[in-house]
Amino acid sequence: MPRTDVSNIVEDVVGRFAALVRHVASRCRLNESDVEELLQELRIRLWRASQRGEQIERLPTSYVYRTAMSAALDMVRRRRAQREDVSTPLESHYDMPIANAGPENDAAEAELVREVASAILTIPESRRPVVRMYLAGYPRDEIADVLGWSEAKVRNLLYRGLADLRACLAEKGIGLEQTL
Amino acid sequence: MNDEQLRAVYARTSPARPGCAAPEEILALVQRDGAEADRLRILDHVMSCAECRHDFDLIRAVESAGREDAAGATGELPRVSATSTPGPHRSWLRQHAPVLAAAAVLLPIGIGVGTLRQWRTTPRSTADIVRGAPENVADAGGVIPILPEDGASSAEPVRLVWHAVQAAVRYRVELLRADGALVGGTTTTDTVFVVPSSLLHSGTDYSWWVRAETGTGEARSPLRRFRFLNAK
Repeated sequence: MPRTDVSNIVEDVVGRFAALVRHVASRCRLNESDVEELLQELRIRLWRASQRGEQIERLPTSYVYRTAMSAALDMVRRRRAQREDVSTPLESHYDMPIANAGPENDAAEAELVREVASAILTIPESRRPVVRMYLAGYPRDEIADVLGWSEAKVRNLLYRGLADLRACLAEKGIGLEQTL
Repeated sequence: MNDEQLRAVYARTSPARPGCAAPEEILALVQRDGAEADRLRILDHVMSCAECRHDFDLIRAVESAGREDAAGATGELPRVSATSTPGPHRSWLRQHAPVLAAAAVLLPIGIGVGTLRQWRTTPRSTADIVRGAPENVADAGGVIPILPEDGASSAEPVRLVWHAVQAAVRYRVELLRADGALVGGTTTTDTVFVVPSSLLHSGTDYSWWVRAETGTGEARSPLRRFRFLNAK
């Protein structure tokens, strides 16, 4: 098959999967650079497959999915290898500071963050992951989807877990009146 | 503390931690493979670790895209071995049919320190109004970045500016390195954010983007790039 035909076929296949990835990217918090890196990896792997004699245009969609997942896992492995090679300052993972904040506010907030992190550890293990997902911004239906639970079960565990968290914080004297 | 306040604090409790989950474990979590107790343990770590959560979101996105693809085709979805090279002749029945259409409108809420500081100093109200004159308000289709222009060089102070989005409640701004690694992020109700110079290195390329959270969903900007050049 002429080289340009193979390129077109690969681009068609990648383009179709790209549309799906972009469709879920926002919901899954995937940033643009991750999407681009993933699609480039997929493109390269499909191209290599075509060079091995695979007829890309006849491959099932499941093959494209598996190839993309394999590429994603390799991306994760590479990132981890890079993290081990490069020491990243811890503060780079925190949110950007506000320029005009004073040191007293910084200290108070750092203390609050530590107290909340510590209080989360007191939540029973059966409820804690649900609370963490919720606090990280995942909606309840996605929590249910990840865990394979009903939304009612997630709601129940979340309700109890947040109550545990608030009770622990209240024992430490942390409540709404302290934070406003 | 209400849920939003807890989320704002929680957003600051997630640095990378030692003992990260293996990629295979995150894949198993996403595919619901293995014992529930093991998956809960992995999930507990993933949600407490910014790096693992990033990896989790990547793998989950591919899984979701595969589900949508399968749902549009045969209803089947293959399972992926984390260590194997994909082959075209293996497939497995997916355990659960996808329910994605409803989830598509429920987008995650990112709350950062901007909000944190806001609620620490000012009680939140339903009157959170974002800045932006009506003529400069974009619709919810996307956030339009203004400055720095894509590919431009920018000196201190670096101001990230974007058009307001109609019905936006808040904006999440993220600054990335050229390799896509997150430098930092914040949440604001403004349409301007001054990047702290302590986060920037002269001669380095950065990318940034903004997500607008509206009452019913989310709009996002394209990724924009700039090079920081410190004149000092």
